[in-house]
Amino acid sequence: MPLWENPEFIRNCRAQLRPRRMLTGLLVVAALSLVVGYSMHESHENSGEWAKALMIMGLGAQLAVLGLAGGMACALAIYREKENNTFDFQRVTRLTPLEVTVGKLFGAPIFCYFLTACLMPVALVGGIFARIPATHLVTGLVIILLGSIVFHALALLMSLLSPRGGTGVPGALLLLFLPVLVLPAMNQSTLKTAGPWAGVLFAAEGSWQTRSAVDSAGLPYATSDWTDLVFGWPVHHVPVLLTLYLTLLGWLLLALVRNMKRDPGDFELYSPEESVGLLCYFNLLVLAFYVPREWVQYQGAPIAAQRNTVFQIFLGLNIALLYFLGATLLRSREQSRRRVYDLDAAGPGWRGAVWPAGYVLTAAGCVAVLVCTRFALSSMLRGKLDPGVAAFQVVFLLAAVLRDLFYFQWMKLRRLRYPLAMGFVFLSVFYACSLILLNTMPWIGEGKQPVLMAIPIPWVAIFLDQTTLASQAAGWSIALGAQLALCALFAWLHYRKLAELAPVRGGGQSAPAAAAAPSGM
Amino acid sequence: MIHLERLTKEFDMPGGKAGTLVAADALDLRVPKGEIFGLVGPNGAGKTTTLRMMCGLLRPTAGRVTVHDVDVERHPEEAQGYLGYLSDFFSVYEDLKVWEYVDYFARAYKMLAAQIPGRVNEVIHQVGLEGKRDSFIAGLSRGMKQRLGIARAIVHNPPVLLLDEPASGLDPKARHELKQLLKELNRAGATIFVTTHILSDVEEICTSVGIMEKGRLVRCGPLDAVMQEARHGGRRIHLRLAEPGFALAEWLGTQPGVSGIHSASATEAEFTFAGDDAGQAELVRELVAAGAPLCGVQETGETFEQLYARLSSGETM
Repeated sequence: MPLWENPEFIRNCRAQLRPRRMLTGLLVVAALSLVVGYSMHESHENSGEWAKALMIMGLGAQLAVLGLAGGMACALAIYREKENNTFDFQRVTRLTPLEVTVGKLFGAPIFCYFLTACLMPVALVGGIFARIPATHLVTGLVIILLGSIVFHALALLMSLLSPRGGTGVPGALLLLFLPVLVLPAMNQSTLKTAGPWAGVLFAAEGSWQTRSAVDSAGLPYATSDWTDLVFGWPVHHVPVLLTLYLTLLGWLLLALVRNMKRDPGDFELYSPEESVGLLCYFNLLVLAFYVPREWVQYQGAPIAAQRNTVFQIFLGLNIALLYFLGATLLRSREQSRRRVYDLDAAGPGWRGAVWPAGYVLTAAGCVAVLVCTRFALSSMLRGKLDPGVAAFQVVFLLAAVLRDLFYFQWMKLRRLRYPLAMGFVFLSVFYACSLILLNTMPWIGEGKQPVLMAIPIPWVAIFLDQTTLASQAAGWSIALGAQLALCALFAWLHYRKLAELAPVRGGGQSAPAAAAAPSGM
Repeated sequence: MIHLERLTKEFDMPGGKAGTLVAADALDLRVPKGEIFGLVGPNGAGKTTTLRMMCGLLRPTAGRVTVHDVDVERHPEEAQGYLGYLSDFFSVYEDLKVWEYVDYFARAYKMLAAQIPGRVNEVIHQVGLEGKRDSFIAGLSRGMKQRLGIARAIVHNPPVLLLDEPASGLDPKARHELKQLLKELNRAGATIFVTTHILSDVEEICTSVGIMEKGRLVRCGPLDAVMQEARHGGRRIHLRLAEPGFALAEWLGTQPGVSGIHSASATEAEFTFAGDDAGQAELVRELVAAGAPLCGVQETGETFEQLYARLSSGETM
């Protein structure tokens, strides 16, 4: 269905683009543009500088209107419909989830698109007078547009997932994610500014040249502001940015389409397979742009990173990502109850109790293949990595991730108002108390402290080295056993919760004791 | 046309209480084409939950719903094309005009573009909003918004209508018009599934009925059959004597087939009689032979409201 025939898009256009409203918007933008343009003209002596400043102002205003105001419109789009009870009526129409999503994605911020169009003359006049090449201006606008659409999709997803009655939730979450889109990338990465502000910068000072060189440590680096190194290859920032936006948009649309017409009690951000794919995607992004370089340079010259350091970075990163993956896979009481009903006589079984271990381990395997392929055979890195220690670290930390995920899954099935939030609070308190206690017990020797610490706070194993492991081998084995025992404990608790959700024979607690049998029709 | 198979929905007890609330308890129901099925029951009986599962808004814990032989859970968009749904709250887009609102849903149900303008006007006329066609919805009264909701539900000519308390918020005239509209739609071939609190409406428009309590269908079937079945195998008879002096109640108490005397006075009595027409004639003959100055015999039917009151376990509607 083309966009202009999408009923949801048409509805938004009709509701938001009333002639009076459009005229008011146009007059306000025109008045502000003229006043700001005149004041800029008066404050700059050089006409080229004035025009360039005007163009930057125009593009910046377009980004603010489209990105921020449009994002807010999307963040409130579904949330408001839920509040007004109109969303259900869309869910029972013949519109497919994709059609509803597209209609809302482009329809909810339609007035912002109109204001952006009203601001276009300012940007164009500035660009023409500043003699900015048309390709630069168009590219800048495309980056702003696509970056804003990604932001809109993120806002729409938050709006969809926000529970009814949670005032301000979508907006607050949106603000949290804002820095992700506007902050420039970190110095250890070869990716330049990732936010749509790059569009304004490119229009003003962009260049199509790409240049790379090799530094004294033998590592490739970019010598142009508009060059990114993708797996060490020089690629212009614009196609990289557009690809990044398109793939991110793809992932966001996948989540939106999957959940748009779902029963809210059955929301599932991604399917297990898609979640594993998302984890691999994030890893590929980091692997593509990461430069294995030490943070501190030696006498001004860069140094290649230690193999061990790179391993630790990717281990830490993937522990966090596996947590995220596991969190998206946790089942609610409603989902668990349905599953238990489906299994019926077979009962929940131990396979159900260790959910989502299978997918977490699969994801870990996929990531291990990716990371090893990129770095294990690389000659860029310094030092050696002990495969035995590395394997122990991976097993230990996977057990720790599963321990916490089983705990969260158990908590999620408990009869609490916010079971996951409560689970997170309890776990945080446990970590904090363990950390304080273990650091204040003078009778624990320095050698034993890491291994004792690893039982409640297993993340210290990220920094495990061969010497520490060899000197406390028994202790580390006990610590691993403790993680596995805790996994078993929480899996058992989860199993018990699943058994509680088994079908209520005879009508459940509130069913009448002896009702007359219904007759067929 | 509509088929519910072991349809079950369980919720946790509200307020964190232990136990499970069974909103729909393995419901089995088949509503054939052309029926007007009325689902009645007290608040919290599970009527709305059942309806929401039927149109795919709520995923069942177990069981399935098919409409027009299409599984609602597996092929929601296809099934929803056969359904028109009206909920018990009337929420509308207040920033649209009346015709824009109906047009939106005509498009959303993927009607042919050429048919939409004509159909929109037709439906607006059908629900009596032609005078408000170009008005903003924000300015409509509560009753008018409810009519607009009905227009939304019927705009795509669905063969199945699921209506949750459609008469709530309507004035008596609009209620009468709604009943006429439903009968008209039914005559045109629509199957209608309606939940209501207004029992007199059920008797007036429904061809079959289900009484729901605490997630279960306690009675279900064609209206006449349900009424007949619920009579406990007896008919209600009212007798009137021309003058007092005959101990009518005592005499009735000695007669076979007389199961319950509901009311009795010096000249009148109402009782349940478990017998056929011949038995009833024999009873009357014997009463006259016993010297009773009988001047009136009337078989009184129990209304659906009385039947519901008798069958329901003290729950309020």
